[in-house]
Amino acid sequence: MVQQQVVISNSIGIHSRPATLIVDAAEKYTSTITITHGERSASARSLVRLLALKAKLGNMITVTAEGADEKESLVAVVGLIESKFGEE
Amino acid sequence: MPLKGIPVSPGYAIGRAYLYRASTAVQASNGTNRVQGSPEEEGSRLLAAIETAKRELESIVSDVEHRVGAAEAGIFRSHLALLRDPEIVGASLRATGAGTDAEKAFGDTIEENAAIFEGMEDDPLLKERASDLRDVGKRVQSLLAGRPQAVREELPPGSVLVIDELQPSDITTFDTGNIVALAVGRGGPTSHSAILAKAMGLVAVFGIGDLSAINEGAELVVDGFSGEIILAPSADVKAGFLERRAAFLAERDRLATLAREDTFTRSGKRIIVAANIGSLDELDACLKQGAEGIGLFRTEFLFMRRDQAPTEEEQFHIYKSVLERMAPKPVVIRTLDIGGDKEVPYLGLSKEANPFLGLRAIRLCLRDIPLFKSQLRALLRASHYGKLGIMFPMISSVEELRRAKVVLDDCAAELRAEKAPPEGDYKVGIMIEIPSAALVADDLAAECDFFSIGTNDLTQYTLAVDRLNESVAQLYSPRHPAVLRLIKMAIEAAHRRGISCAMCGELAGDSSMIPTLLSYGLDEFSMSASSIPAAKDVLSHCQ
Repeated sequence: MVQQQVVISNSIGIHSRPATLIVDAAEKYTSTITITHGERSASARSLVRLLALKAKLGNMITVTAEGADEKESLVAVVGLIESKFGEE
Repeated sequence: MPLKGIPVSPGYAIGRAYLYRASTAVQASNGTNRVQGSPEEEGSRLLAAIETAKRELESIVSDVEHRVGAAEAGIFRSHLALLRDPEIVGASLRATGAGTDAEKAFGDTIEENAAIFEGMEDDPLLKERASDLRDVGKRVQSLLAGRPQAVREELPPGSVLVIDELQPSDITTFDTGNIVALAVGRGGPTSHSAILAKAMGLVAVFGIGDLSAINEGAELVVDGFSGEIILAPSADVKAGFLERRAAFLAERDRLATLAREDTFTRSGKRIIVAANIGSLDELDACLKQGAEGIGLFRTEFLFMRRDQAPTEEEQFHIYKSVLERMAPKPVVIRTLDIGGDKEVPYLGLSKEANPFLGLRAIRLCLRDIPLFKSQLRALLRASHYGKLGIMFPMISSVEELRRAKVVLDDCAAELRAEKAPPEGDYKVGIMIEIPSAALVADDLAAECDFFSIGTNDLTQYTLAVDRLNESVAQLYSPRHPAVLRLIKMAIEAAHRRGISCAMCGELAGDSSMIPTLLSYGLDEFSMSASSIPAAKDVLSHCQ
């Protein structure tokens, strides 16, 4: 299992478009990817759970991956969040 | 007594009411006495309906991408993700497995989740997502009820669509050419339907509430500024309204024309209004909004979300295509601006206590010369295809600029020795984003061709405020006199040395700050594409 903390730096936080990009990214891997924000936690493949995290600009979240391609999948999801989902 | 709602898409329209009732027809056919199948049969009926719904949504995505735009198509990509959502599909299948029919299983799951979003009173943006869930729910339900395929609703020309709740995919089922306005009972400005209406240029008022006062075919006046809907307007009311409508359309045309033209201030000074971009996808929007160049092309995206650095060849093709698409307009490409706060494993960056004060941007490139050279060589080769400016980020001293230029000259010499095709003319500039650079701007200006002020970092470094840190973010102000003084110093130093000074930070697109920046002598304003028309308008009214 690998995990990493990351700060949300895109202005709207994990809303529809960013969450959809996370789902699209997570589906490319076989590992189980979980995102945790405070008490709430969500599968990176579930749009409704990701939205319900209410992760906003400046919030610290934790991305956890477990499985055969856990390292690559962690890099992909964290990289996506850090790239601000292509927003500016 | 006029009806009143929330204006979500501006403009004025007069038309005849078209009351939408199609969804009730679907619900009626839903109630017929179908014999419930075994748990397995109900499960596979549901999965089949979901698959068909996915195919429909895929075609909506490509249709919207074509008719409206890529950003708006993203709304339906999120609907697709809802149909793949393991929570939704899983919970529905557990219910069919336990003996519930497919309709109820899926309907209950959608409603449970929609209710969760609806309860998020503190977050209007999330609250609106209930409507997206129900849109997806309705699509699957109608397929379960035996709807053959999506039907396109025919409306008479000049219709005002009157509908209690407008779900995003509803808009795509109408021939919008015949719709002049939308009058919607529920929803607000952050709903996806409102965003679509705005992108399609339809006048729209949402959140009107009770619509029963509106009769089929009645004449309506829809004011997309005040949110008023006037029923059976008198001749006087109509005349006044048509006058305002004409003035609005003339103003819109004036802004559109202005956006296409070069910008001059009242005293005749030519000002460049350019766009900031982070990927090639944004080029169309930039040109459409009237960008006279690219003032900042961020190259970070090329380096992120991958397990090795992009090759020189790969970079060359991207730089070449942005230069070609914009030529003869100028394009400023910023070299890699990345640091320890980003996850780029192949760069081997260590975690730092203060990544914004650490090994990043030009500091990193001067440490990893092969990485830097691959980018500079790609840029030099691409310079042949357009008007290129190469910009170094995070320069804090003359020494750093000189070292970067030595590497650039090395690359040019290498390419000549390899007998590569000749490079074109290009300029070399720097970001002014560290207070020390603004303070020694005279010396820096003597050794480069242009400045571009990055106000976001300049503000953060000058005021020692991390704007991502919620506890201090309120101290972050690019209008602080200290920041403004540094900006003025940099512009004046550039002009003393005969070079131009641009700004590519958020401040450049802030209409209220443009007159001040212009009075400092700023030559070029670079901003997100959507801010360009308004900025050109403000600039053309300044002295």
